[in-house]
Amino acid sequence: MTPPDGGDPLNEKTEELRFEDLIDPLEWVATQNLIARGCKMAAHTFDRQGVNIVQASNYTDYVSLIQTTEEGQRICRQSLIEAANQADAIRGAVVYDCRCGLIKVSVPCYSGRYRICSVGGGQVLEKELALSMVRQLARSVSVNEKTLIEYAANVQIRERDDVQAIGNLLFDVANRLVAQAVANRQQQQQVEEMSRIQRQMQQLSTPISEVWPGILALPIVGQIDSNRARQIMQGVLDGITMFKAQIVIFDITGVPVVDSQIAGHLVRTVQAVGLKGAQCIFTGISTTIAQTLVTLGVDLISLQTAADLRAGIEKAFSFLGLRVIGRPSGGGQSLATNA
Amino acid sequence: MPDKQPAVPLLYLRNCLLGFVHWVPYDSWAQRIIQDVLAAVVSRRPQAVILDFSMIPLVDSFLSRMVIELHWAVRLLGSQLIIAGLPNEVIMVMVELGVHTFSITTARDVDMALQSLV
Repeated sequence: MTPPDGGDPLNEKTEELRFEDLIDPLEWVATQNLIARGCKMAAHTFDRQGVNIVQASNYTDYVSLIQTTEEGQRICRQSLIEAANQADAIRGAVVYDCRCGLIKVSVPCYSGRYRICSVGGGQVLEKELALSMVRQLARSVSVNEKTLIEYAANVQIRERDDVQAIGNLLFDVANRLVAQAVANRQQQQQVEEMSRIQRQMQQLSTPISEVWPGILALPIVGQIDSNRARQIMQGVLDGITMFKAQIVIFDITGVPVVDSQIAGHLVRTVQAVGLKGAQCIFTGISTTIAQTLVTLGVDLISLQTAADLRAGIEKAFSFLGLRVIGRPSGGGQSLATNA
Repeated sequence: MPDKQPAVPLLYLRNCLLGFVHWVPYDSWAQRIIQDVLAAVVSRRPQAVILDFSMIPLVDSFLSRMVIELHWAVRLLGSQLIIAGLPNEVIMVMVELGVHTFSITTARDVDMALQSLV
């Protein structure tokens, strides 16, 4: 499988995208372990700086000993980075001889055009290492010679072609996993975007305003189905809690038709507001809706109404014991005060 | 000993009885709540009994019957019952299930209930 050469599929700065942003490290380690055990080789995943991103799998004692010192880590990292860059250049698996005398493979993993990480594997030999070479290596990285020789004898011997074949397989598997992770992330981003839009639409569809301390106004426009009715009820109850409202004015001027279902929703909303210790006033009821409500036999005794929003606010004021008086200085503005 | 513990903790405050209903695990517990409240009404003669339901997860038809029964009993004893703090989710379920408490006085919270008595 060849990774796509296309642009950035995630609309993000992929140079800044980290491996952990895309893939669950624990799941990746599980897959890495399976591959390492199945191929009987070491495997590890590292970033562009040659630093392991997740726990390595099936490391040989030989390499583990070399990497116990700073110099050992340095030479390993140097090999890693060089090989990773070569692999990146050809966008494929590269088998190379590392500075420790082993054969390894480097496999780049891409998100679109960008290399997210590299997977390294191998740590095998084509033929037994010369003792002199191992001794020299032990001295240069400052590890115990005898132990390193013992560990070198345990490194398995594999054909270079085998290692290349495994590298090619690893390339395919790893990039499929990354592609899947990218697709999942895209989907998640889309879902989050849709949720955000839905939330915005919800807010727009039930705009609750506090027109006076203790008085909320809610203009309802359009059809009311079960979902919307639930949203309205939830929004109103939340509004009563937030604003400590005592009266909610529902202006249904924008509701074209009221049938038995909508009437039921309205009645349940009145009940819910009542259970919250507040009162409802309905305004903007058209003649058609008025006749419909009477015909449907809706309980009208519990329904407070007013002709329009202005009358509704006046009624709300009277419920709260407020009245509007003019300013004594004749400034033209009125204020509501306790009756 | 457990039988002597009240089913609902009651606090006498400014001529009101304040009670916090946390849960009603079974029907006999609801009966104990009624008995405890009525005993307190008789002994303290408050102007009102405010029961806070803000911690209750669900009000079913049985619980609402209990509330209505308590409302009338408290009224006969010369006081009034106010149910305060019903959570929004509980209200929505009650309304959907058709559980009505028409004659009961309700308040958004205990503060509002106390203010209504002033």
